[in-house]
Amino acid sequence: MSLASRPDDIRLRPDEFRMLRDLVNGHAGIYFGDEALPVLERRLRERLLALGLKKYSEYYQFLQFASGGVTELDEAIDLLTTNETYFFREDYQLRAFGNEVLPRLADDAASRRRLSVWSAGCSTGEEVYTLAILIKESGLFPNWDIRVYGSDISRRCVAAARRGIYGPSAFRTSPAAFRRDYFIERADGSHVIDPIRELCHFGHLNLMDNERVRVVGRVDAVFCRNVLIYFDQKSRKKVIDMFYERLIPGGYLFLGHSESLLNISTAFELVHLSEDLIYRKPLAPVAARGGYE
Amino acid sequence: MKSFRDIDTDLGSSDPEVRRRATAAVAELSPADGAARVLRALGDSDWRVRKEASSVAATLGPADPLLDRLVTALFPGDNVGLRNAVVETLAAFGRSAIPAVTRVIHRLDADGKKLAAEVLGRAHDPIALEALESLYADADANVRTAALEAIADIGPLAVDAASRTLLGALDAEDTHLKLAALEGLNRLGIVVPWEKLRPLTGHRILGRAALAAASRAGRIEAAEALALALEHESPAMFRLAMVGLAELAVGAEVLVEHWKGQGIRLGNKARDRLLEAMAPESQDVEGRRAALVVAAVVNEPAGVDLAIDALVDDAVAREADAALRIFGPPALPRLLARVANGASDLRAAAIARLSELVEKDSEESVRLALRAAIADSSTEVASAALASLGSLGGPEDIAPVFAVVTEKRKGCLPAARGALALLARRYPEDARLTASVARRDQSSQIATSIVIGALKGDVLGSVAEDVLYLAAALSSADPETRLTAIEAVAEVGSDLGMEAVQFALADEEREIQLSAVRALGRLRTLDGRAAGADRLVELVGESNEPELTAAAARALGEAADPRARLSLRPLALSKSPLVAVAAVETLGKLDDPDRIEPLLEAARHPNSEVVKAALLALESVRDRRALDQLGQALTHEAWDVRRLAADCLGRFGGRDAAWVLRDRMLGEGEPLVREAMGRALSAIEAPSTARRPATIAPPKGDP
Repeated sequence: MSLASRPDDIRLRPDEFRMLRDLVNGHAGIYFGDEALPVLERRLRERLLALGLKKYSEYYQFLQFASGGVTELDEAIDLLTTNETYFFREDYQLRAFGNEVLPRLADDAASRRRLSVWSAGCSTGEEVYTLAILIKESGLFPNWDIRVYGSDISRRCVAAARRGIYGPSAFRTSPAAFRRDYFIERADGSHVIDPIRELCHFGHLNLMDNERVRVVGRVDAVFCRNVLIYFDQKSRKKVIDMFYERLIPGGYLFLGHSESLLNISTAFELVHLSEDLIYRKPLAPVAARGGYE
Repeated sequence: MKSFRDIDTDLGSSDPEVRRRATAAVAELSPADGAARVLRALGDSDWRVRKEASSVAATLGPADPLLDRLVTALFPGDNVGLRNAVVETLAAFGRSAIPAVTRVIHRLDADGKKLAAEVLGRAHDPIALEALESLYADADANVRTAALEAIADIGPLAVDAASRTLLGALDAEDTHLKLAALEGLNRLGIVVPWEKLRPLTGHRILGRAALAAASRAGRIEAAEALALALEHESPAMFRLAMVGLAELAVGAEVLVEHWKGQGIRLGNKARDRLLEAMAPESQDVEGRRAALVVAAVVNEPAGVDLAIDALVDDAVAREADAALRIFGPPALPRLLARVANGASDLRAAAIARLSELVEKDSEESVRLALRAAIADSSTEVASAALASLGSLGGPEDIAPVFAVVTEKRKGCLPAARGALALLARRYPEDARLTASVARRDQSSQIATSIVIGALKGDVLGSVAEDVLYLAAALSSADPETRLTAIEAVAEVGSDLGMEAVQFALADEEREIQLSAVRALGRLRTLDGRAAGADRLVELVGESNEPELTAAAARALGEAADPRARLSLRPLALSKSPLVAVAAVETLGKLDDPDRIEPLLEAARHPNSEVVKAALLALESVRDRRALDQLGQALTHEAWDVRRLAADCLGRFGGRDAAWVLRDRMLGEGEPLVREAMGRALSAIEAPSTARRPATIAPPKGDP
């Protein structure tokens, strides 16, 4: 019988869990409650094996101090984040964007003839392409300089988003015409057509890195849906402040249906649309910033 | 420790091993007590004892009592072994032995003076020159010859002085003196005026050395003398003349043209020798190199094919290349014949040489051959053809090369990219048309981006259109496309590309991030300001990724932003050598007189690569503090830093630099550093002496 430890033998002790959890939280804002210990143990075990490490505390040391630690932290976060998404997710919000927000932006930005939208935490790109298609379909921006930015903390997701090739499950709630008009069917999946792809730009960004996110420039709208639910309160506030900074005055912020700025920021104003409530950066800055009461 | 008496008794023992051990014990005595005993042991009949004595002398060091005792052996005596051992020992002391030898030199007999000259020459120090000059004025011819040989030995460190004396010696009556002078001049690679050489080339004793010198004379008459010597009976003279002629020919187009104009043909014997020397099976590589060149100079028809064959032989490829250039356009048909058939490496090599032989009337046949070759199944051949089409192709070649880039043909893409950029610059209108037609086809994004980059924009209607196109290409899933697009944005250089470049900083591919950083340094606003300077200043301050920070540091230098010095100063002290070297090199290039402060700090960095970068930057700062720092680096613990410091001081120049070098030379034990110090002193003190290294290879590639 072999004396070598089997992969299942490597256990994540509670103290190691706390160290790793805090490290991930400090770097990416993502927060894991105590109940997530088995999740971290299971998902990170393959990294320990790949690196030939025998304890999670060694892995923590590697992440902190080894020369490849920063890259490895990206790998770890890749494994720990959920990337499940699809086209036209939460479609009521997208309808609100297409029918009510885009016409306002077309008016507001008419002199610039330039529209920038950012999908922050874009995963494998479905939301980015959905937004680009909505903008194209609106017909409101002929010959405008249109850019739809997608960013994610996972390199793998960004690379997949750039490829723009999707399987059937990505279209689970999409209208049939959407798939027919904007995708080309090939053996390896449905390919986003070139005129849409050209509007979309993807990047590898950590929303907690205030300096790096400045590469996005000023944008007219930010979509950050079902991302902040994984963050702790402090990190959420930091990210929301950053969005405020990135938006042009009058720009819109779209959060997930279960997310709000309650207790996070009063800098935004609430906009009532027919199907949704969204946030807007005021044209003039608000004097005091705190939390919604 | 043995007593004096025991040592002295044992030194007189009949057993060599006892004497050797007694000699070893002398090392524990003071130089004053040991001197006479070392001298006694150096004169021992057994070589092991003499060897031990040399070692003990080195241990005792170059103290005056020992040196004064050792030089007594240069006076007349019967013990030849002692004299030789003393010469070796004194020479090993180098500069330290010079004063002791100089003090006794005029009291020595002729043999002693010869030995003294040898010691002084082998000390390799210019301070011995004065003593040697006085020996050169001695009444004894042998002493004068020995002095001249010693002066030549010191020559590399005092070229001007050595050259003056050696050239002057060519006017002497004495044949041996002239021979020593010629050999010294040849060793130092000093150019001898042809007028001085001409009378010597036919001399029975001096002829060979004079012909060797003729190869550096740079005169047609010298070439003729060498050519004449090719017909000499002696194979050694033939080879000498052949090598000399080749040296003379390489890089001297006027001479080659004159020679070819004369239409001179070799005699049968010389021709046979030449063909034999250039044959691939010849073991004499230097002779083969020379023969290839000489065959071209004398227009030997059999030489063309042998030179083409030699293109793929690393040992002689340079000379084969030179030979084909000398053969010139008449060799083109033979070269074209090789393009079509044979081994792929030879075909590729032949293709690469076409551009040097093509003329207006042969242009079309060359293009036809190249067009056929770009479709070749060998990527080596196809790549060579693509590379040549870049410079030789016509406007009609843009489309096929554009297609090769678009299809990303395996193994050919780098050559095709280069060719497309060259063709675009040569035929901008045709390139614009091709790119405009292809702009809707996403698969041609790389090719179109290359054209935009090569022409620096204004390809698709306006610079703004180009930038929009490149921004769209940056959304490609293919990293190569994105990389090409970002490089093209940088080439276009318009601040309209700023947003695209900024976002490319977030690309998941490191190479693209780095390209984006570099591009930030190149984008300019309409009034010429660096559009990305603000971002670069932030990047160098905030990034914790050494590779990115280093790239940002370099880009900030290219942006020529006034904040560069202050931003780079802390980076020059970074723990990461990658970052520190980038910052130092960039600081060195700034047009900012205050850059010396951070450079001086960096010259004290714990990492020697950073120190070396700082020294290289300091050598071009005209400031006394730079000189002091370079001098201080001559005592650095790393020998490679000391060597570089010596070279930097040589380039810094001036009497003070020479003084520092000479001062440090005494204590320098590393031969490579001493050599560099000699080189530097030579560069400072004798920049005017014409020297040419004895090589037939043309200067090529990196220094």
